[in-house]
Amino acid sequence: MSKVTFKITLTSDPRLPYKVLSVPESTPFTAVLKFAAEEFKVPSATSAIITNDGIGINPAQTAGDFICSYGMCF
Amino acid sequence: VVVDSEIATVLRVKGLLEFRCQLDSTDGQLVRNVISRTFETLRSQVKSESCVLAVSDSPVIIWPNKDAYATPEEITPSTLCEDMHQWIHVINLCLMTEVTKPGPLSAPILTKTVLKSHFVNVTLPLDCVVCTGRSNTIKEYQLIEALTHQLCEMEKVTLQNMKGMTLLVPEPVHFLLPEPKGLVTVVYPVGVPDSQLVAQRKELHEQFELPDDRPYFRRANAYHFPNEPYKDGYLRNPHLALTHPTLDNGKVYLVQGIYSYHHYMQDRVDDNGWGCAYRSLQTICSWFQQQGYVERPVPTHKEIQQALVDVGDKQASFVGSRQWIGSIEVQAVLGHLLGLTSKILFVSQGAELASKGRELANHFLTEGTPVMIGGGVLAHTILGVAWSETTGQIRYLILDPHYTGAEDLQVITDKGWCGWKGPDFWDQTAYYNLCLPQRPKVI
Repeated sequence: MSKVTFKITLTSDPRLPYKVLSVPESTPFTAVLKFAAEEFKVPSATSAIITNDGIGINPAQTAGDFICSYGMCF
Repeated sequence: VVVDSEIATVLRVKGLLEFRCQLDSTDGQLVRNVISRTFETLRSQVKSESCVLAVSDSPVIIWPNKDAYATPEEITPSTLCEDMHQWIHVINLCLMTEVTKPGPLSAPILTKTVLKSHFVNVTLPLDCVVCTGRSNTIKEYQLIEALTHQLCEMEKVTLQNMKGMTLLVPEPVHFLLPEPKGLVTVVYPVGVPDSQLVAQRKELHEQFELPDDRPYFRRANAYHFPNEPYKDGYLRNPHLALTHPTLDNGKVYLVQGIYSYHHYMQDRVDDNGWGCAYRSLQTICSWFQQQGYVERPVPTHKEIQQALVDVGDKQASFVGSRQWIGSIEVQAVLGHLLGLTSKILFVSQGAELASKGRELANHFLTEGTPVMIGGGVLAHTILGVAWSETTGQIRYLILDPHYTGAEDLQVITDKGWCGWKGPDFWDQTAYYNLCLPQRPKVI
């Protein structure tokens, strides 16, 4: 099972802290969001993940699908 | 969208012609010949002296091929168009045929032949438009030319779409292309969905030199004539009734195309107090439907809620509740139900919205879709911005979904339910998210 890696930045904090997360590519994005929110100690219900240029994400996608649409895939 | 102040006149001729022919054989080529001959007969009929054009809502009758007309008193074409509110005047004419003619009296003769054959009987819906050029006059022969040209187009489409012994009815559809092309009529076969007409649309895009990343010729893009009411009862583009603000060195950037105004209490749903974001989402869906990107009708509150459950964003108990949604949910529903991508903008304080002028202006220039904004316990739709690059002054064109009244354009514009607001309209300390739907790059 291959993993995909994300750099996620918390924009509500002016210091813009970030975390680098690695998840199996079949992980549904809702789980990625929950995990990231827990790491940043913010409530996942009021959080969302968007790309660098502001594109919102379909929560039903898996992490692997998302990377292939917006990130780098080989 | 800048409203052209030049008033153009359009003559629209509509009528039904009976297409009848007898097919004695099922041989493909012979059938095609008969069909062509029948169209030729119809063309002669239109060019004959028995062709009559009756001007709708007026006592004027014209025999275009006899150079004759009947009016009870002196009436000129300019007195026929009373409605000065639209920038296009449409004069409707009805195509008719004289069925009697003067001649010697004789007894009718009937013959009976027993023969097995196919009989084709179709009613062709003729619908032509002729626009005035600079001269502001239209000659009768131009109308006849338009009708015969349309019959040729119909013949082409009928023959192209023949499958064995099945004929599809050709149907004219009008499209308003960007200036200077104006109104263009395309004949489509009835019953063939847009998805099977991609090749025809590609040709049309090439022919009219249109960009190949947005639809102009889907059936949903059909031009809606000013004197035809919308059957669903929703108001279209109420913002067109407003005067736009003038800012120092400022420009107005508006939503492109057509949307319907969705607000509280419509469709027998009492969503007063909780449905504002849902209504904004409905306005956005109506835009995508009317620009031809989706065929799906505007979703109901329940369908919106179900979509959020289906993508895993909400629990099953969400359906049927009165829970609020925000920009992120709007983006998720647009993605799941309509297959659209959206951009999310956010500001941590309402006061910062004034600094988003350039981005919003660019959005309306490139995408031109309505924007949903949520924050400070309210949701609204942004239909445009007036922004000055030099002074930074900004105004927002807001469509307010909190309106609970009837579809009264006067009230809606007078009371500001659709109106221009300043930067103080926003809660200066609240966090705001904006959903900017992106156009799919398709024709």
